[in-house]
Amino acid sequence: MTGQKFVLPMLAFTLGILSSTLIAAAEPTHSAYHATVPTGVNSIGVKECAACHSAPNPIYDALGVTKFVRLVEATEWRERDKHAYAYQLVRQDLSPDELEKDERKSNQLSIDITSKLNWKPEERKNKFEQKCLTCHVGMNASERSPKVDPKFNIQFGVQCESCHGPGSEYTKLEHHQQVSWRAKSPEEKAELGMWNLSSPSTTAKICLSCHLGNIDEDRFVSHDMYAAGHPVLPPFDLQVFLDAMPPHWRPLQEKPLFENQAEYNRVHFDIPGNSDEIQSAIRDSYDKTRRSMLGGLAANDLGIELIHQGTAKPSTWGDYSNYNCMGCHQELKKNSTQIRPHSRTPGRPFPANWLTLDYPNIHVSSRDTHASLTREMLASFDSVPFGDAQRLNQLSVKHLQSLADRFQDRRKMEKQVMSKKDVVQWLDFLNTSRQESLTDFWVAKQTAWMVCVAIDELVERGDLKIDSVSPSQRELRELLRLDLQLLQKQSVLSVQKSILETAQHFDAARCKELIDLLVNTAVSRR
Amino acid sequence: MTKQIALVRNLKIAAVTFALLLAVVEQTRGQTSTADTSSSSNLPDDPNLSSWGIDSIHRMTQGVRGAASCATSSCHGGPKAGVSSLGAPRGSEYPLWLERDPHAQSWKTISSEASLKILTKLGILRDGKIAYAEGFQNCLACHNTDPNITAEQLSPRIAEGVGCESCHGPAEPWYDRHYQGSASAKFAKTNLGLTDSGPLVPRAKICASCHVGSKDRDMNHDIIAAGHPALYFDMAVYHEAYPKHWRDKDQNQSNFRSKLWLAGKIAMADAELELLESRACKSLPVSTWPELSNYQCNSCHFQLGGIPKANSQPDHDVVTRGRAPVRDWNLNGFAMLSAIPAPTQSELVNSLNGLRELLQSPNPDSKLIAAKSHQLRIQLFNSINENGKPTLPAWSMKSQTAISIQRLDETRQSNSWELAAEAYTAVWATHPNTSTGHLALVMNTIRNGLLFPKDLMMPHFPRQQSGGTSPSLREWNEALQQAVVALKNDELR
Repeated sequence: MTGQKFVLPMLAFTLGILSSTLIAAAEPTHSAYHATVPTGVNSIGVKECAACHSAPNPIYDALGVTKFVRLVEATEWRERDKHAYAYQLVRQDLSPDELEKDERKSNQLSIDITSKLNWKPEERKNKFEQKCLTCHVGMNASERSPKVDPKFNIQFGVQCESCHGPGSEYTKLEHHQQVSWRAKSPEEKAELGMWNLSSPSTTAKICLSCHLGNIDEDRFVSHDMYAAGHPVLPPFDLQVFLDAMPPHWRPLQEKPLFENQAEYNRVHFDIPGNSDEIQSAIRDSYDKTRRSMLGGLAANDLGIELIHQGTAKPSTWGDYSNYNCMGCHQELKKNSTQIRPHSRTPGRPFPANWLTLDYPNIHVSSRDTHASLTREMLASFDSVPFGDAQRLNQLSVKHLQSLADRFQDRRKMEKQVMSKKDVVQWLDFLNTSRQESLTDFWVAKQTAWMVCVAIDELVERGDLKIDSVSPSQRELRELLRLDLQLLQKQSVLSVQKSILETAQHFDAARCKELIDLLVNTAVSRR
Repeated sequence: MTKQIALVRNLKIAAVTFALLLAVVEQTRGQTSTADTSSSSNLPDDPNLSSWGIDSIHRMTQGVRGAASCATSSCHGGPKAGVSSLGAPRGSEYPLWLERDPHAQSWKTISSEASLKILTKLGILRDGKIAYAEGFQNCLACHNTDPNITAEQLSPRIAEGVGCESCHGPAEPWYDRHYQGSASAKFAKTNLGLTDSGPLVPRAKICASCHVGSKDRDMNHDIIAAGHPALYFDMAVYHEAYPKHWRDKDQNQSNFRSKLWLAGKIAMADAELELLESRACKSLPVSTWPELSNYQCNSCHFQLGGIPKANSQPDHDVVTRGRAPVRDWNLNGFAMLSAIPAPTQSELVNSLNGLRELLQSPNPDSKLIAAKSHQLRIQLFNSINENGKPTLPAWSMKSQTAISIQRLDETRQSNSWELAAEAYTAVWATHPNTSTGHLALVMNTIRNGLLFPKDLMMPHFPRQQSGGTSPSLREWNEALQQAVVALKNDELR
């Protein structure tokens, strides 16, 4: 998504409203995330970064920068982070012997998938880069790294710049190597190519361009790819996904104060009080829940954005991957029609459900707009099989406009901290607003993740006794297989099979009960 | 006597094999309207196709008298036990229909608890009132003689269901004139709209216009998803099980069942194409596009989580992997008819393949599909056209049986229930003695492999491991191989 697509509708929108706050608000969703590639900036490859970020170094210690960064990032990433294997898992140039030895069978799967996709021999290499390596290396996304430096080596998979932004500018001596860099605003850094990963929204946007998909960036697992054997993408929770990564960063709360701390806090937060009060509010923030919530809201936006991208050419709309798998993929049992919610027309595929998330504290009119647009979108999905592409496109434009407005709100939220009261309110909100959609395994899983993150944080802070929640949480984890499958010595296909079997047979009523129980425990201990 | 026992056994086999198919019978009625200009359908009529001989039912404008008006004891309502000569009217059509014909139960079906649930899910019925008239009309088009019926009347005892005029045409134009003298019935058939259900191809088309569909009867994926059983019509099987209120002159000939089967294949293809064209033109308010019931049920409806290549998905080629293969049940029957000469048949098959490819493309172009379906209908009609009437071409029973057995053999390597079931029916209908002795046992084995599992509304075929009545892939292949050998040996004898 480039800014241009939105200029006209945005203009019309802002002229129509004529309100100064809304004019400020009306900006394209994507650029609002500050994760675009500035002109003339390139990726330079992990080797350049690793020169400094591999091991602590007395020189840097003396300069004081190691207080903020650990300088073991590249090592942590190379040795433990799944992203470093992203290319190795799909590379197709292994010898038969190596293929045989691989217990995960992921390379064999990769070969099988591409052969089933039936590409012509002469286009194989290009297609592999365009359809697979855009995510498995993070390369060549038109928007993110227009020119790939020869030093950028695909062997290293998803590497530093895939998430931090292309480094040809900010790695210059006068920029990010200076202590003063830290106090610069996210906007200033973004101009030089570095994306603001202290912002949950920006981080989530970067993760989701692969973990959900982004057609404009050539990152999209189509139904053809799934049918050829690509494992199904799990739903997304920013905090859960970050927890699953070996941390190569230091959490904000653990970073030492520095001379420009007050300036840093002023740029990144919007909290009343003197600098000490601000500092302690940041320290006390329930940040895991905050990340989970803001990440979820970003997923919601980007799901709509994905519909917008998919319906841009109505004649090509309707890739089955846009719909809930189990809507079609179920055996026709004699009682299967009794399970479906009555509100929908029978027999119409329904969308993979990312559309329903909202958040507490939002202005009522904005929530109503969001709710009514969501309703209209769902109605359009229901009106004809696979949805009316033109109507969906119109609605997604409207939706994105209103989201751009809400994004201002989101920015305000990002600049605020989350208190215990906010966490409980969020839990309560989640529980009531998602009740109906919990029959969908993927929505249930995403919701359960968000609930568990908040509950865990309450337990961590001593607000809840672990005994009061752990039995229900354990059951919920098992019911929905909440633990992410990390690098296991197990065939990818057998892992897939068991996840899909869980999805097919999961007990929605019990899931609802457990979430309700957990949330009520938290609410009553308030 | 032996013949009777054989017939009873046949009936049993047919009934069990197609238990689900038969369940559909009671919910449908045979009626047609190839040239129906007055219904909600706005599809133009094609003079090239008006010669099916059954284009006389204008069900919306012509008056329906009701089955009771045929039931006078001196007409169709008496016992008339004495009339026994083949071809003579029995005189007891009405009581036979009323007591034994599942069509007479159709109204009971549509006002049943299960049906009311379906109507509610589809938004047709709301708070006991019809909320979506066109949707209800679409139901009545097959479930009742008179489609003009109001909401208040949806109670078990009100309407007659699928009565005489559903198949024979609304009686208003010919009622008074069809019994006056020996030539009057013929005159009514030729000139007044009394349907001539004698010739088998038009007869099959009458059945197919509900049991498959027509341009103003669309039993689509929405309706199936709401709970209506999917339609699996076969003329020979249904005809065998049907309590007939008539006698066919050639009903005792050994090739009669084959004739029905053959006529059925042609009529099913024509009805399916008519329906497809109508759906692609969206000529009915209830129709949708793309229409998912144009595709094989289990191409989407299977449990995920099977290792690729080893699930119950039909084995289609790489081009369509991830997309749905077209449902062939009604469509490709003519590809196995020995009666259609080879060059004509391969032209038909080529056209069908083109149409299939269009339907399987990611965003099927409805206009092109409508045009191609129409073209194929004309092509099909021309292939069986004799003096402007659709007529069974000359054919040899022996070569037809050989083709049917060959087809059955070919399904050994395929994972498609549809192809296997179709080939099985073909053998059953065209092989003269599959109902007795060793061959009956052989057919029984194949049949068991085709049965739907107990709790499913669809085949689970074949399984990797056997479960319930479903044989495993290996068992199925072995049984089929043995069956084919036995059938071929019997052919040679």
